[in-house]
Order: sequence, then C-alpha cells, then structure tokens
Amino acid sequence: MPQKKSPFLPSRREIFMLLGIVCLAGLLLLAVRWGAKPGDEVVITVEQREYGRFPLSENRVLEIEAADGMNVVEISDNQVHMKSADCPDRLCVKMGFIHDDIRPIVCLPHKVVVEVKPRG
Amino acid sequence: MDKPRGSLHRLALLALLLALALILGWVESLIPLPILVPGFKLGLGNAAVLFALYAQGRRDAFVLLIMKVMLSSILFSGFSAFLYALAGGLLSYLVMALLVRREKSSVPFVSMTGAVCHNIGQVAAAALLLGTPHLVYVLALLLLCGLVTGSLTGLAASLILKRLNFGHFDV
Repeated sequence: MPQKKSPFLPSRREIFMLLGIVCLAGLLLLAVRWGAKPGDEVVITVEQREYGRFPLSENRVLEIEAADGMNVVEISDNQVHMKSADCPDRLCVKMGFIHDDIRPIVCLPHKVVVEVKPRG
Repeated sequence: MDKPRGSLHRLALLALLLALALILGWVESLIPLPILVPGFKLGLGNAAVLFALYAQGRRDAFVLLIMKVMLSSILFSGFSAFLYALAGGLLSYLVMALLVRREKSSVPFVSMTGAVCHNIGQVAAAALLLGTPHLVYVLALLLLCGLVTGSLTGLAASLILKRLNFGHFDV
C-alpha cells in the first residue's frame, strides 16, 4: 500500500542531509580542537584595527575605548577575559576566560575581538 | 482555509504575522537560555516567516522578513544587531524559498536548513565586520544549535499549518 508522504515528516534523503550537517559541524569542532595551539600573547582588535599585543603571563587590566562604548579586558593567571562592558547584551563578558586559540572573545556591538595567539 | 484573495486580506494577514513575529521575538528574549555561543537564539520569529512562505508566498514572506528585522532592531536590539540579523535572515530566506518551491521538501527540513543558513549568514557577517576569520569554532557550534532550534520552530510552523489546513497540506 503506497503511503502518502507527509509534508511534516522529513524524508530519508532529508534526514541524511541533516546528518551531513551534523557530521560537518562535528568535524569542524574536532579540527579546531586538534589544531589548537596554546598561546602566550593576547591580541586585541578594535574595529578591524589592531589595538595592541600583551603577554598572557603578565597580569593587567585594560580599558578599551571603542567608538560605541567601553570594554574592560583582564589578563590574570595566564588567562584572559572580558571583565566588564557597557554593550547591551554583555555576551562578551559571559563568554568567560580563554587561554588558547580555539575561540576568540568577541564583543559584536563594539567590534572588539580578544584573541590568544602563539608569539611570532 | 482558502488562499487569501483581495489585497486587503493579504495586507491584514501580513500585518498580523508581522505583529506576531515581533511579539515572538520579544517573548523569546524573556526566556532565559544558556549562553552556549554568542548569537544563539531560538528564532521563534522565523516560524512566522516560514509560515508566510507556505501560506502567503515568497513576496509577502520577504516583506515580512525585512520588516521584522528592521523593526525588531529598532525596538529591541539596536543597529549593530541589525546587520547580523539581516545577513542571517536574507541567506536563510533565500534557501528556504528555494526549498519551498520544490514542494517535495518537508516543513521541518526547510525550517532546520533555514536556521542553519541563518547562523551561517550571521557568522559570515561577523567575520567580515570584525575582520577576523577565527570564528570557525563558533560557526560549528551554531550549526548544531541551528538544527535544534530549527526543528523546534519547524514543529511550531507544522502545527499551525496543519491546524489551518493549508491547501496542499491536507494530511
């Protein structure tokens, strides 16, 4: 008995394509994790321009004046995080600490990027 | 339900959907979600766009999308979020419109693909605006998030389309 295909259930082909996306995402995650290099330098970029480079091993607090607001970056114990910001969502603050180049800390509203890179 | 006929009918339905999309976007901001990744959102407003794509056609869905993105950034999120939302919205709209045109695609599939494309567009805009290509990790996480949120909004849109019994959706 041929069953009428429901437009509300994904077909087998669609499920395979969705699984393909899952695999792709998984591979990307693994690739980034494997390629991760422990960094020793904090690179801060504001509005696509390099703001400065600071050694990860020296504790310091940086107050960054972007065109659209203020971000406070803190380097301590070989880690860096966004201590505070006056952007509307404060996602950058919630992104926590980083110590390698897996992911940067990004403040989208102020276009501030904090990365940890190997020196050189 | 018949296809809306007059232009007044169309306008009224479009306005209703726009109001709904904006309210959904606002309600969504009240739901506390864990901040897994920057840019992670449920995208309930996309259910309205998806519904419009099926029920109202491509043109109206496009108008709805643009109005939704413009108004919600004026009302809630501000200009910086506007560019990301627009980039994501346009890419997801394009892909969804193409998929809906081929009627073989199922609603959840269209929704999930749309959500994934929304996130790709968003990250691409961020990469361009920030001048950093180091967003692969975020992109990968957002792809997975898109599948989850897309299946939820797809479910919502499916239920509504089913209830309103749209033309070729008699099951």
